[in-house]
Amino acid sequence: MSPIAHALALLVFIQQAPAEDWTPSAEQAAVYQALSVRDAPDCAAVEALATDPLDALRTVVEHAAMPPWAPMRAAHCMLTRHPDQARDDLLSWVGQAKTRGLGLLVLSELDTLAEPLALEIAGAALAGPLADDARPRLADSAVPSVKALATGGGD
Amino acid sequence: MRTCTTLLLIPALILGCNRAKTDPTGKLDLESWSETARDGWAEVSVDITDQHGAFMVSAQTETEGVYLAVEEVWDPDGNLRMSWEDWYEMDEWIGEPFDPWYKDVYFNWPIRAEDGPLTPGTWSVVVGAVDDWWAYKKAELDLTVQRKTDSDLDNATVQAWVVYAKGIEKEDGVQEAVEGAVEEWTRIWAPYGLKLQVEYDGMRGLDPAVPVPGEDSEDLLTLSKRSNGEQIVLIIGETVDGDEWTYGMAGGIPGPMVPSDRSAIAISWLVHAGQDGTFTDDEVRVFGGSLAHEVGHYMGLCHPVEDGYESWDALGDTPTCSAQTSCEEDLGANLMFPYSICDWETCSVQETLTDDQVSVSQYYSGAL
Repeated sequence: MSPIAHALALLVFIQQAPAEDWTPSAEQAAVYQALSVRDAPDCAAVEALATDPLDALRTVVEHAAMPPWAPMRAAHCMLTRHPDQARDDLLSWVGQAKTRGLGLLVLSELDTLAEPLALEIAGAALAGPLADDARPRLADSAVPSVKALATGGGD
Repeated sequence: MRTCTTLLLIPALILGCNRAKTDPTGKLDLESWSETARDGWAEVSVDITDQHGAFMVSAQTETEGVYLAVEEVWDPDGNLRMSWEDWYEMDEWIGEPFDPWYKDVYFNWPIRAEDGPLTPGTWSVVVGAVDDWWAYKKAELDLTVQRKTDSDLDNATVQAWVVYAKGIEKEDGVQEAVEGAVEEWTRIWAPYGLKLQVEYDGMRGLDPAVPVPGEDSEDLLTLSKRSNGEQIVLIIGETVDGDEWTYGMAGGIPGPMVPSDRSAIAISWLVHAGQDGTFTDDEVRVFGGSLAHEVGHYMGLCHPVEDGYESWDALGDTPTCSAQTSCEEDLGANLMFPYSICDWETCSVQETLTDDQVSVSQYYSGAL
């Protein structure tokens, strides 16, 4: 293996390896627990468990593998309650195949976002590996400018 | 006057697929009629022979501002067997029939082992029609009685009709995951004498953001009319109601065996697939647990303890725990426990049912 290939392989390993020394804070654990309930309380009630809700939600999205609805609900709370602060997260989710589930979540709730952000995210989705997923979902949008992107129209 | 009808006469081809092909077993009869509840209540008589194991009374109304609930159940000897007052603001819950929350009510009897067995004679179920303030209101009622000629409480077959919303069965890996989840559900149920008979269909006219059961969805009503009358309908969508908060929702505790906009269980595949949108074996296992859990609700099972540890189901053999540690210790392996017990990476197995929970499931009129 060439040094560059070895370095790349090591980088991939480091990115994929679980952070073994990572331990959730008490607040992060409480938010995770609340999101794991089958009939969970709403986002407001979950966020009341943390002094930095966005950080706790992002932690659940990034670290929780199970139950699958815990990270998806955390992402939903980020999108619906902190869309501007979570802008980079939302753009990242629609821009990568490995976060397709989160990307579909964003696309299905796109109409709840402010139009400029929705347009930015829609554009990013169409430019990335989720373009085929994005196109029919954007076509169903109730926002004309977002809908227009699906057919190549718009600004 | 009562006029008998059959669900099988309802036309198909409304949403764009073939009608479910499973033949009904003939173990669940059906009688329906309409009447006016002039004083805000109606007494429904149910004639029971020694061939019958359970019955279900369904009441629906279109009368504006009216909600329905069961008030009383009387046995053939004139004994009051259950009253809404026994369940009003109690810390034990036996399901939805005694709460006037909806414009329809579905009542399965017996509910628990201690309520049975069903003795021959004429039973009477009083259905109340009330307004927002629980004052009796005159209402037009559509009533249905279904009796099951199956008194074997050790073995039953449940027919499930799994319906994919528009385009869902074409999503990569979703069909395989759903079928794997159904296998898991089948395995969970097997020790309790509950067998599954499943049919799959695709519905090109059904929104992948599946409507919430009980919120006046014409699509759910139409779909439920197309089941064979003995099937529990499960709809697999991308989301429930367009967001990723709800992983699944049953149409009632118990759910109807007659057509209505509550006669379905809505399930999101996406929420079960997690961040990457693809299913691992663990996620398929949890998906199967979700199907078994939600159908458990539909068949009348409540959570043995609610999150908060201050209310419980009304079953004698599910411990009345009052704190997280003791509840997880006593009930954490139970299929109907209210939350998954996970450590961020994996979840513990939750698939046991107590004898009393099995009885509730076996008494359900759709368990034939």
